[in-house]
Amino acid sequence: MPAACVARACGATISLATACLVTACGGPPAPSEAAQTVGSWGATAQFVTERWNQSAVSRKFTVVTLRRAGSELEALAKKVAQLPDTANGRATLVAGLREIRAEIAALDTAAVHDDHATAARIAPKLAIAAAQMDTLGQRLQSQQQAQSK
Amino acid sequence: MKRILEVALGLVTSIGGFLEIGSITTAAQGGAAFTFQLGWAVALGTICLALLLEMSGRLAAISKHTIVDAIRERFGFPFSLFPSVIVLVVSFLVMASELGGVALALQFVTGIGIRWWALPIAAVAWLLLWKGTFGMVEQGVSLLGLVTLVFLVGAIKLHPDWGAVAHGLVPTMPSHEPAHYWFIAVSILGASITPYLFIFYSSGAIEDKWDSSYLPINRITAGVGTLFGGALSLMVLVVAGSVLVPRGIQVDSVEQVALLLTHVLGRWGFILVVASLAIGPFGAVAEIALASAYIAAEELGWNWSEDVAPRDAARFSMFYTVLVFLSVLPIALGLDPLKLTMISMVLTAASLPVSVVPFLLLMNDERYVKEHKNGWIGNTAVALIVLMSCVLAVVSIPLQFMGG
Repeated sequence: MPAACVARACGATISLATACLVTACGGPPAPSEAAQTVGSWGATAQFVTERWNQSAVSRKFTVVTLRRAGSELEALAKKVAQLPDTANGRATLVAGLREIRAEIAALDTAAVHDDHATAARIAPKLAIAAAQMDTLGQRLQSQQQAQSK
Repeated sequence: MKRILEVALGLVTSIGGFLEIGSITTAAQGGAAFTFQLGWAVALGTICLALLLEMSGRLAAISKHTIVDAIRERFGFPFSLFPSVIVLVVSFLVMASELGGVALALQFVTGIGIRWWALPIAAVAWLLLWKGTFGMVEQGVSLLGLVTLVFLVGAIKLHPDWGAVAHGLVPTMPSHEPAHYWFIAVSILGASITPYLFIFYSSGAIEDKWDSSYLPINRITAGVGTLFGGALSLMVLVVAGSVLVPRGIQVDSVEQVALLLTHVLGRWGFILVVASLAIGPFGAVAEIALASAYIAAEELGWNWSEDVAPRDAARFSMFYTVLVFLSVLPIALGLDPLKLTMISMVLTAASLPVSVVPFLLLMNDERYVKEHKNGWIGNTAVALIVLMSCVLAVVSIPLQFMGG
């Protein structure tokens, strides 16, 4: 009896954890949320590059972070592609996502080659693109809240 | 003089051992998403943990029983097996996420992927448990953990609006993203009130042969030490709120946490945060493995002690050995440490009543704690916080994931 009870409890906990992990990885996000995530990764890439140019972080860490940003945005791009064409802000989101991914890839190459000059040239552009995505996310979120009211 | 030294060591252990991957990342997420508004969750979690640690030390000092041992004796084996297994399962998830935290810190330094680090870290943790003593596991790693004081230094140097920080200590409703707000609040509570901590503490009190003369030391260590530790956790939230919010950066991965102090402390800010990300979680891996072996051994009546040779507590030693190496699997299989951390912290919060309610009943049983029973303030505070954490966890898990 206790063994069955314990087995059920273990099963429930593990199922819940698995369900959380699976749902956390699937389904397209809301455009507002996706835009803010894109903006956040763009800002992260800009921040780490700025810190690397000032010798506050190592080149290895910079490359690790830029690759992480690139892979997170690649995964997000696949999810954004599942959004319906009519989704509010989709076109701007897709264009911004493409631009930020390209700039992060360029920064990655610059960091791998220890090319501070190129990185310093790209980082400000990335900061602007990231801020635009963040603003888009906030605007879409306000619209969403207004509609739900 | 010996007692003063014990108090000092207890305080250092509480402060240096407080921050691990769960408390660092959940506080950083809270700060990045809601600035200082979730300070109350850190404060509530810390108060609840301080109360639970003091109770577990008091139980051990007066009754000479650990929590698991006393629950089994008081409620019987079939009943006690249920909370023990739940705590073991949840602690395993927490241990895997802590291992992932150490692996990430090493990846930040070397550039080598975290999957490659999982096994070597587990081997070093196992070696510490196999060769070391309880004091080495508890105090050695916590002494190194004092590096986390860097978050206090960073917060002071950032000159945040301390009035706003104080305002955040009062619970308020979120202005946006309510599901996300409550999910992070629950994660912070789960990261603070982790059952392995008070189970480890009570077993440690038995290992150190506490008696009633240790009650004042217990009160200072559990109370003052934990509050200082909680203050460090709050400083992580303050730093994240001050540095990441103006830049529009959310905490979606631990890389963003590593950048927190580079702005105010430069290269040293990076080195010390990465050291914090490695040392705190490493200590947690060793402590969780040991706490889990304590639970299994006390539940099943095996010989147990970290201070005897492994051959004299063979099943106890075998249990932590298997567990440490099993915890490599989630990271080696490619699970994201941050996602694993968030999920394990929320599950910890959801499972709290299972582990805490029987313990609270014991703390009101004169057969165990004699005249040192809980007062109504302690009972009410712990019961309310634990109930609130559980309800919030059950409500916010589906809301968070439905919202993506």
